[in-house]
Parts: sequence; structure tokens; C-alpha cells
Amino acid sequence: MKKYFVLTFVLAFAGCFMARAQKVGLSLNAAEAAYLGSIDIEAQYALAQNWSVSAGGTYNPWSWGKGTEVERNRRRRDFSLGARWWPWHVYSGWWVSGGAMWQEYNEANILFSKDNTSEEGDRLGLRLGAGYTYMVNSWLNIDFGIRGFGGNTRYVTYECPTCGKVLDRGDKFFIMPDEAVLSLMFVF
Amino acid sequence: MRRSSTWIVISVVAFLVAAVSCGTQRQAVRLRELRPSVGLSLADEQDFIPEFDVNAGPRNDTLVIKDLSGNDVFVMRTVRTEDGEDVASERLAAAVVTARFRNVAERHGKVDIRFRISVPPVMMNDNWQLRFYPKMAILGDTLSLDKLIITGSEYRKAQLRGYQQYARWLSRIVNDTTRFIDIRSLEVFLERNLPVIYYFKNDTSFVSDEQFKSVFGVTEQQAIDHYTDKIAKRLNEWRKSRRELMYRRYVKVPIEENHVRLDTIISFANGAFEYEYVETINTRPRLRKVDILLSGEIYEQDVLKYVVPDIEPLTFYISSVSAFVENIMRYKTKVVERRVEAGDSYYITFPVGKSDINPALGNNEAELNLVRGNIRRIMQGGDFVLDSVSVAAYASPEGSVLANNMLSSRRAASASSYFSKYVRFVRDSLKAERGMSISFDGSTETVGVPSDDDVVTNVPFKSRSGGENWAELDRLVSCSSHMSEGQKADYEAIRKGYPHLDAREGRLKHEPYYKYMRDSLYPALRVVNFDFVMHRKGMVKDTIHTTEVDSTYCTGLALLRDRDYEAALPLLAEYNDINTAIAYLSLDRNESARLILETLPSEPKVSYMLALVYARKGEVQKAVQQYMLACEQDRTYVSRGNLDPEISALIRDYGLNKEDDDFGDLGF
Repeated sequence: MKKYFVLTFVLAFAGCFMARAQKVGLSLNAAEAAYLGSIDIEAQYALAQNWSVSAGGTYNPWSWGKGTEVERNRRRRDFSLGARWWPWHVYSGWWVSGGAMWQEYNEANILFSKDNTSEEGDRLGLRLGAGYTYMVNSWLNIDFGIRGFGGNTRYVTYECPTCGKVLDRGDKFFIMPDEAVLSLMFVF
Repeated sequence: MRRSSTWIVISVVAFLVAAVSCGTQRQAVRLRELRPSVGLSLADEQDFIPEFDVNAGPRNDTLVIKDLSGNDVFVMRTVRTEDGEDVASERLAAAVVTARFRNVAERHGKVDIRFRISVPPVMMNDNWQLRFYPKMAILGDTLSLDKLIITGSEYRKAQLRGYQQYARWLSRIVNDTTRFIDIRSLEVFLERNLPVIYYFKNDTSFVSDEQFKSVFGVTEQQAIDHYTDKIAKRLNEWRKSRRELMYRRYVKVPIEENHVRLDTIISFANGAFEYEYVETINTRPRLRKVDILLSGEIYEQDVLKYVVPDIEPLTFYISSVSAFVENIMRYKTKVVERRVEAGDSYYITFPVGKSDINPALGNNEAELNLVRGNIRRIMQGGDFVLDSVSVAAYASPEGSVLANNMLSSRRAASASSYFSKYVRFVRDSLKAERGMSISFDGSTETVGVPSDDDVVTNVPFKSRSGGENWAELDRLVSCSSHMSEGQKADYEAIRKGYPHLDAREGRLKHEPYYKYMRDSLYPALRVVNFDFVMHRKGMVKDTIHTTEVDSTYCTGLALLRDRDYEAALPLLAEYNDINTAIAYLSLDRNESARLILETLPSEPKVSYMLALVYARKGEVQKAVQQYMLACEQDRTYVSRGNLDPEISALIRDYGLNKEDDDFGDLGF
């Protein structure tokens, strides 16, 4: 009798643990933060062994060298919805991601700029990415990856970041590297 | 400046390497030009018998012995001059004698074959390995002996380098397969997704893989498989499969350990190398001669540089005293009685208080068949004639003695009557078989005239009452494992205290073990004994003495011929004849051999063996006297003496048999 009681207890105890799972991941992209102070946050939820869905956003209100001859802006506000496919298991190892993103932006003199013009607008498109997640411990991951963004933008181009002379405006297709991912991911 | 000094060092090293290489090449060329061979020679004589040392002194130069006529004869070391005169000589330091054969003596059924292998300096090089392959031709067969390997120091260094390279390669193979698992990641994964497994990770209790899965259905085994480096694991398996190939690649010439007599490493300065090879062989019948053959090769690593030219073989002639074995046939006397008796007890069950034999009762059918079978075998067999059968029936102690005696008497008579009918039946059937009638022209004749014993007469049955079977009951009680020692003692006391049998039976009924005796022991007492009295067919006298071959002696003799002396001696020891002496002599038990030989009548063979015994015991004078006595009686012992090292030493030391030098080997 006692034996059955112990067995029942152990199985019940085991069942509690089995029910537990870390399905939520919250990540902060340190690479974006290092690049002109963008705050890039993403939340994920595990749906299956190989699938998780994500929602995230980036916010950057800063202007660098404001009022100087070369003012640098990478001001933006974006929001994305997407999913990740993990060949092995969610929150572990390799992944590829895909999703839709809307982005409101104002950029001047940032990486790959050829002149001192400034562009602002709204982008809507598809964002694809791939990377690798390294498990540090039971609650922390480091996420490495790159993402690209492509779609349509409704834009206005100014002669310089501080002047109001419009050089161009309209809609156009775009495709561009979006971001490097070096995130700290907390898994709950 | 620095650059120029580096070039100087490189040049010097290159020069030295080239010089060494050239030296080896030059020696190889010289080897092919000279075509030297290896010396194969007889080893020095050994002191094969502790008491007998051919070179030990002091030894008298002159011996005085008596010939057959009793006259004194002087024996001394002599040399024969050109005019045929023998003059006394002195022994000088030994000169080198190159002989290609030697006589070796068998001891304890074994022979030591000793020979020397001499390698000339021209064959020696630090970069070479010399391999010699001795072979033994024996009784038409050729057996390979253990190899002799002489390895140059540089050659061995290269061998060891190969082993080291292989060991280094081998160290890359991982034997612990858990090393391919990323344990840290696996643990983190389990802690997150299979926490039960993780928390029980130090528990040895078995948890089946299917019992615990993650919420997404992932098992521990799947996790282990995932965190296993499959490429590294496969690479490791591939390396494992190449072990043999890599061994051959790195270790071109393995260091041999099996069937190698010697593998010595030599740094060859100059000078020859000599090795004394000793091979002990078991002798066997007809083994007279052993040839030793030698071949050899020189290798520089795995490249054959030189094959040693043919080497003249050595011959060893094996001498054994077993050649003196005499084919003596011994007989032993056996007394045969005419009258033979055989008897046995049978458990025939009778109805209570009755004496009729009912085959259907109890186990009667089987028991009656046993009696019938024995009667038939005796009557049908050719060796014996059944004269009479004595039948005694026994009863258990239940009831009065008088009644039991009467009952057992009736039962014995009943059994006699039952089986006398059977005997008549067998007799009639035998008569019918033997008295076959054939009709010629209407007349009837009986073929074959039977002897008196062939005429099957009537067989009388004598019945008697055995009474109550107390003797068997006593035996059964003493052997019973069911009764305690106290009960057995109690039974014994009652047996002695109650001589009247009915009173004894009445007293036993009160004992607790009586039920056991009645149920288990009493049935075994109710037996019928049959004693068959017979005589040997055709035998008139009551006893005759016959002789038959002594098989023990025959076996001993056969073992002696097969040279299995240890086994032969126990069988021959009691006979104390010449063959026993040969067994002792072969086992080096010389004193026992002497005691027998000295009692045997004088004949050349005995004298010769006595000479051997005395020689081994160091009694040189007696040895020479006995040997010369044997030679005088039979000249074949002149040449035989050369075969036995003990006698051969005497011949050499004392210049015996000079006038018989022309005698050849007479076939010992």
C-alpha cells in the first residue's frame, strides 16, 4: 500500500514539473541600442516545438549633433508581428523569422548615406531574418542574427536635416538591411 | 652572420646523414659481393650428467682391468705411430674440430639439441635486422623452431618510432562517446524543458524515455541525440575502422614476440655474434636422427637486403637405451574352479497367509521375469551347465514363528514347483533346437552327436524355509536414515534382551518406530532366494591351472618402447628384469638399475648397460671393464659405444677400440 502511495506521489510531483514550460521570451537588442540608441524590444511566445510567434517594436527619438552642420538622425518608431521557425526547438539553436512591419522614420547622415539630405516617411513591408540562439542558462539566451526589410515607403526627401526644402516625395519600393541582432533574451 | 651559421649546421647534418646512409649502402654492396654465410656448428659438450664430467679431473691415465680370462689388462691413453705402434700420449689443449654431426643421449624421454649460430661482422649493421629461421628435420617431417632475431640499434629505434607515431594517432580516437555530447547545453535544455529528468539527474533509478516528455513531446533521448556532435562521432568511427590500416602504415615491421627465441638489440661495433641454441625435444619410437637446418635474411626495415646462402645442416644421432628392450612375454597362472554358484534375492509377493504364486499380484510379473531370464541365460549359454537350484523363502516377523516357518516353507515349495516347470520348458525347447532331424530316403537320422554336457538333464529344485528374516531386518535398521541413533540403540537392546522371536516382535510393537518398520522395512524381508549351482561345461577336474598373458607387463613393455618411461616404470618395477633396468636407466635412476643389472646373468647387453651405469656414477675403471667385456663378447658394442656420450668419452679418453676403427655403425 505504502509503495503505491509513494509512486502516486512521485508521479504527481513529476506531473507538476511536466506541466511547467518556458514559453515566453522577452528580448532586448543590444546591437540596436549601441547603434545611435535605438530601443528594440521583442516578445515571443512558443506555440510548438519548432514555432514561436513574436511581436516587437523599436523606438528612437534622438538626434545626434543637432544644430550642427552634420546632424545625424535615425529617429524611428516601428512595430512588427511575425513568427520564428526553430529547426530543433524553440529558444534554442538556429532560427529563421518572418513577419510584417510598419515603420515611421526620419533619417539623415546615417550609415550608407551619400549626402547631407534627409528622408522621412512610412514604410510597410515584410521583414525576414535568420540567426542562432545560444542558451546561457535556464532563463537567459543570447540571440544572434540579421534581418532584412522590404516593401513600400511613402517618403519625403529634404535638402538637409534642418532645412525645409523638399527635394522629392512619393511612394517607392525598397529593400534594405534592417538590423543586426545581438539580443539578450529572457525566457519565462 | 646568423643565416650563414644556420646553413653550416644544416650542411653538417645533411653530410652526416648522407655519410651514414652511404656507409650502409656500401656495406650492402659488399655483402652482395662477398656473399658471406652464417656459421652453424655444434655447441660445446655439456655436462649432461652431474656425476659424469668428461673434462673433470683427476682421471687416471692408466687403468688396470681384468679380461674374460681373468688376466690384468692395462688401459691407457695412446697414439698410434706411423709404424703401427701405440705409444702413451698426453692430452694437450683442444684444437678446433669442425664436425657436422654429434651423438646425443636421451634422458627422461627427452633430448637436448645444442648448436651454435655464428654471424660474421660483415653482416652487422645498426640499420639492419638479421632474422634466422632454424628448422628441424625429424622422422621425415620438418618443424620450424623459434626464430632468432638480431636487431640493430637504429633499426629498433625506427621500429619504436613507428609505434610512437601509431600511438599518437591512436590517441585521437575517443572511446568515451559521452565526449561527443554538449553536456552543458543538454543540461540547460533539460532544466528548461524536462525539469523532472534534470532534477533526478543524479538518481540512478530507471526512468523510461516515454514516461517523461516536454510539453512539446520531446524526450530526453531526442535531446541527447540533438546535442551530440554527429560529425565528430562519425569521424571517430571512421578513425576506428582505420586502426589496422594505420598500424600497418606506421609500424612497418612489428616487434615479434611469438615463436622468437631471441630478439636482441646490438649496437654493432665490430666483431661477430654467436648464439648457442638449445632445443629440447621429446623422443619417440624410431627416432634415430635429427637434422638442423638454418636459413636467414637481412632486412632494412621492411626491405629485404640479403638472403643468407644455403648453410650445411647439422646432424644429431639420438642414442637411447630403449634399443636394448627385450620382447619378453610373461604369463601368469590362473586357477579355474569347476563348480560355480550364483544367487540372488527376488521380491515375490504372495497373498496374505497363502503360498500360491500369482503373477498379477504386486510387482510379481517383473520379478518372475528376472528369475526366468536368469534361468534361460544359464541353460542357453555355452559355458555352464545348471546342476540344481536351491530356493529359500523368507517371512517378515509378523505372526508366530511357527506359522511363519510353515508359511515360508510352503512358499519355497511353491516357487520351486513354479520354476521347475519353466526349467522343463526351456530344456525341451533346447532339445528341439539341438536334436534337429533330417530325412534321407524315407529314413530319419539325428545329425550331430551331443556331448554329455550338451544333454540337458532334469534340474532338481531344493526348497527350504528361510523363516523370519531377522538378519536382514538387523541390517536394514542399521542402515536406515529414517531411524535415529537412539532408536537404533533401543532396537539393538530389544534384540539382545528378547531372544525369543515372538516375544521380541511383541515388544517391538510398543515402540514408536514399529509402524515405520512394518510399513517400510518388513516388505523387504519377504524375499525368495534362488541359488543356482552350475559346473563348467566340458571340465572334469574340480580345479585346473591355466596360464594367460600378463597384460600389465605387456603394457609396461609397450610404454617402454614408446619411451614413456615415467608411465612404464610403475608397471615394470615389480619384475626386476632387464626391461625394468632399462626403465631405471632411462630415468637416470642409475643405482636402481645397477642393483638389477648386477643380479642378471652376464651377457653383452647387460655388461654394456652396467658400463653406462658405472660411467654415470663416475666409476671409470668398472665402466671400462664392463664395456670391454661387452665388446669382447659382441663386437657390435664397439660402434654402439660411440653413440652414448658416456661411453664415447671413455673411448676417447682411453683410446679404446683402436683396432676396430673400421667398424661401421651397426644399427643401434
